[in-house]
Amino acid sequence: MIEVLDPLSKIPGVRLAVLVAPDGVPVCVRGKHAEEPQDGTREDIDSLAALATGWHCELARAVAPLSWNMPQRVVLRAARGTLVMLAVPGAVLVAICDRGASPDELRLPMEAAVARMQRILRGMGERGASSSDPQSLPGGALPSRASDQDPGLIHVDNRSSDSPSGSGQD
Amino acid sequence: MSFVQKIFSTVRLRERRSMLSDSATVQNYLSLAREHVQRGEMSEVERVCEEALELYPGNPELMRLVERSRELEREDRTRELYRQLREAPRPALYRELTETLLASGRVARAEECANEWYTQTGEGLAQLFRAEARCKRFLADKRRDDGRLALEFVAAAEKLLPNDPAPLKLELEIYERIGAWADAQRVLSRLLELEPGDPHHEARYRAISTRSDRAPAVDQALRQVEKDGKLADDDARPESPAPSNGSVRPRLQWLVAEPGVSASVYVRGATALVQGPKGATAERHARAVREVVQKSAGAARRLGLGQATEISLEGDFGTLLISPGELASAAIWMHKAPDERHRRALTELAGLSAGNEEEAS
Repeated sequence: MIEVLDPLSKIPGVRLAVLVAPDGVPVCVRGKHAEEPQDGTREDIDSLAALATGWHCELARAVAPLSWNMPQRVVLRAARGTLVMLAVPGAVLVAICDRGASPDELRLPMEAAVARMQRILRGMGERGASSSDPQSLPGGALPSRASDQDPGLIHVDNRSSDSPSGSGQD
Repeated sequence: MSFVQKIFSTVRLRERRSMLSDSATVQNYLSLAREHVQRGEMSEVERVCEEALELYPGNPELMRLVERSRELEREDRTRELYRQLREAPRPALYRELTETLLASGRVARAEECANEWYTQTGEGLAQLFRAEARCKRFLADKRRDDGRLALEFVAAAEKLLPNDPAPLKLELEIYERIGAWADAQRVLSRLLELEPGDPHHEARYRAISTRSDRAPAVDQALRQVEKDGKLADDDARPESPAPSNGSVRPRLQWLVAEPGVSASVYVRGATALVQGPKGATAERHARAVREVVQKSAGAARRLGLGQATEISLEGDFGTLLISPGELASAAIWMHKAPDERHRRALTELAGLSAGNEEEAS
């Protein structure tokens, strides 16, 4: 997932890009052009992820009485920076930018990052589905318990190896 | 400035002085001050402006010029102090630099400087300046962690400066601003031990003792400040009068008449004005805007981003753009992307009651 976030970190003004998985685990990449905080403090990624996703849920609850669905893109401009959040099925992508950075410049890169993430997940899903097919598994070097339990296959193999030699002797 | 330019400037300066002696108008004072600015004589600029302000008190142009000249002076001094510190650091230089940075509102830099000073010398005064810088940041952002850290720094400074009332005064200020009256009373009693008979402390002690019965604990008070975005004494400050219905409604009507705009909302405390939706739907819109502002302002503080200045929600419903002010908020719900005009109109609307909002440093 780091490679999904890496292009975001190269955008000038992006301080931090975090992808929060549905299980709450954040994947974070720090901005390459971002200034080091003057006070030397750095964001605690776990608490940032928790706060951002918690706030997103609160926003969804606030607009629910208007029969609105969960907001997909949220921008919070503040005195010390800007937070841009993109909610996609199963994950939340959060970017924190410096004060001067424009959140509109992040719109396309963030959507591209989400598309990349979904492509990777889809690819993983397809590989997972194909790997569950037993016939596609490569054969082991030694006979396994599973192959021993397949009597038909062993029986056929034994017979086919014995019968030609038998017929030759006759 | 070259030699020839200097000659011309001296001639102009003489002319401006003679004009000023003929008629002491604001314009003549300003032109003389500007000539000094061009010559880089900031102390002269300040002197001329102060003289003018005695004749024309509160003149905005003169005040702006004097403030700008002071700021330039501080910048020059800061540069010089940084240079001296690089060559040969000593506590007096650190102290002056931290004070200058705090005076110019560069709180993060001031704290950085105080941290460096404390690391090098371990002095109590350095710790006190760290506490002061963090306290300023807390008062600007209202973030609980900043408040807690400021109190930790103050406690450390008290240990290093046991008989100095300065750390206690700073601690008292924090407790008073957050409304932790019981702790403020405790600090005041210690201050009175150090400075017995001080009438100011005694009066404060008497005033605070009436409030300390149901006062919240420090952590509770800090949590409340972060949640509300208000300090305990903010309520005591006189609020600007609420804008009249007549000044808000036309702006809301103009906004809702824009193409693609479905609703415009103005919320101030328990009062809300909504254009577009009617009846219960309008009420729901106002409630949603109020809640979004409240939750977002708290989130911005907790995330360390400071005061929220704009909130935008996008989804299949369209865009909800909110401009949260100090006392009021304005919002529009639209089905296309908002442009700069909408943003400006909302900021003006939200600032109607609060006047010019100061940006947190």
